[in-house]
Amino acid sequence: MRNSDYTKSLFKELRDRRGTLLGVGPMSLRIVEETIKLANETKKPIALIPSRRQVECSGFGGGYANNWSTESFSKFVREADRGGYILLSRDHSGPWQFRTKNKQGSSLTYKEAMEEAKASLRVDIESDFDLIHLDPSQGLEFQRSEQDVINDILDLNEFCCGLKGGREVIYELGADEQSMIPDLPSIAEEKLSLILERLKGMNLPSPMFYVLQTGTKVKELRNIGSFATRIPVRDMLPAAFQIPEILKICQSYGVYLKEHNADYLPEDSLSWHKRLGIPAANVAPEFAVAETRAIIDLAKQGKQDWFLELFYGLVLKEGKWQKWMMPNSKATDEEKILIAGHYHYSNPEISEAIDKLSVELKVQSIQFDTEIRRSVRKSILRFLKQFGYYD
Amino acid sequence: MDAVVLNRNLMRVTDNLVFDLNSRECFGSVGVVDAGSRDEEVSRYTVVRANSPEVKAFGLRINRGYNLAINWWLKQSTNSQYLLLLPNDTEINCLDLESLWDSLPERINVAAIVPLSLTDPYNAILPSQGVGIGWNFNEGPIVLSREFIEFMVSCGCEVFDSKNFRSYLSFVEIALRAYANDYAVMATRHISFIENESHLENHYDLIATEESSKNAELLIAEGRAWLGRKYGIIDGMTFENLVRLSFEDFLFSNPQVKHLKIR
Repeated sequence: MRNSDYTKSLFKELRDRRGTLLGVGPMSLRIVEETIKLANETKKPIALIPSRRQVECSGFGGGYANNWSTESFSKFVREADRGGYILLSRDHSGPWQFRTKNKQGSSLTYKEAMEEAKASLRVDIESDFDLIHLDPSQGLEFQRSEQDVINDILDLNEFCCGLKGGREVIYELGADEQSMIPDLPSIAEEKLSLILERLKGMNLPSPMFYVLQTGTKVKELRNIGSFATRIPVRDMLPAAFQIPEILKICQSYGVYLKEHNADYLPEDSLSWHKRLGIPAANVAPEFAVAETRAIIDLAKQGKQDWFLELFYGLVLKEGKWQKWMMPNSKATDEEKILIAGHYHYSNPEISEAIDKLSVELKVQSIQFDTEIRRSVRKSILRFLKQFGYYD
Repeated sequence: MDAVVLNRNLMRVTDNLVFDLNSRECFGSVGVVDAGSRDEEVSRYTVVRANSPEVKAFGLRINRGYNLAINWWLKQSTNSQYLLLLPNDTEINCLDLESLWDSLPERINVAAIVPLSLTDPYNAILPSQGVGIGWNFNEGPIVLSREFIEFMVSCGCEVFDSKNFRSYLSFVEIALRAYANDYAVMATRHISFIENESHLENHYDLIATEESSKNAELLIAEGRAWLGRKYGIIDGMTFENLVRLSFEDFLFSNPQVKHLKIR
């Protein structure tokens, strides 16, 4: 098991330069491999942040990303990451975060959902994860109150710390549902203070990261939060007021703010991460969209209509794009493909088709894999350049 | 306190608001600045009428309209120390001036007091006194102190920048001028309001503005251009950050009002 002091020292080195730790959603093999390469090239830490739906323990059948189980994902990353710069970071672990229904088709009970979450966490820790984000906020949609959610955080944290190596893990906590509404500073402070006090009372370690809403939210192919739009939004705190306030609060309690949903933020908003000193930010769908866009563009360039027909048909039929839609969305079919294409990379039919596409394009001297990797890399670099990885 | 309402082509709405303000019996005088309305839409309470071809075509918007109101007010023989400026889509929810004056901190120069709309998230984090000190508020109704207005005039500048047509970060700029000169900007729920957006949505053509998404686009584009020309700053957040630092500096020098900081 990797010593958490090592992980902390990697992060500290980045923070000393006022850098922002990038968390990358591992939606595909190429994204994971390019992330590992970039971390080793820059010699700075990057977190790979699988959600439970992306990568889950083998006992639950694994996740949709490259058919990885928690165990095989960890093994793959550790072997490929020669310099040891990747932080294995579980994102959004908690009840109802993997599935919401049981085999009989009814909603998981609280007990079932918590047991499943704990089984998943056990494998995370056994699989040498460096960081775990405990997020039972999904419970708010299953009749759990805000107070229940705080209790669930403590329960899960106590469970993890009771496992072998569990106290070595770095924890990230969050009690809010992800929202485009920025947290109200003093109210967020009350909640943070309460959680830390109760952790202390239970002799549990303080988290290293704490998730607060900074006005970021991804819908369709854009970020719709106030940090992205940068116009005065009625009924929403201005980002320029709210972010410095919550950074100060986190600092005063000895935790680092972790921003989620930083996808599609414009360059000027990204540049403010370093200026304001935002310690960490997660990005996921933007990288997968870059990969899917490159696949589609190359298929079009090579006039491989059979692939486009197959891919479009399946993605549209499966409907994974629905959860990303704005109300009264005007998204085109092509946009829906971009939004949800990556959910199907591991579908045997699509996986085979992508292999065949690659062969067909090679005949036309199109370097399929190289071109896609270039697009994915460019997409990740957009963040690394603004987050202080190249200073 | 006196009050001036901005009107453009919404006479009935404006007159209703003036009637409401007058009925509360806490204003010395209430007037209307007219921003190029058609003759039949000019309020009978109008004290200043701007009707040049340019104003008729494009309106005055907040900054230029408020400046005309201030200029008119300064010429009146009134002893009022405060002037409330309001767009006509304001619907007053609460107007408790007694509590407001009681809650204002002593030994602090107040430049402006921003009434909060009922749905403003600042309400949830406002100190229990019902007033708080801050620096980043959305444009809307505002109360200005005579002392601050006269100070600005003595500096040879307008209170609101007329060249900032769409009022981009306009109240943030007021905060900069305030904190740089040891004045404070307060927010309050003792005066609270509802912005009736239906007027903007249904009559944006009459008001001579654009539909809201277009307006937002122009606000950023023209606002950035204004910021660049005036300050050599292209990013609004850079400007906001400078104002925040000026505000923090004010709090450092005035620790007696730190408990009123909105956070």
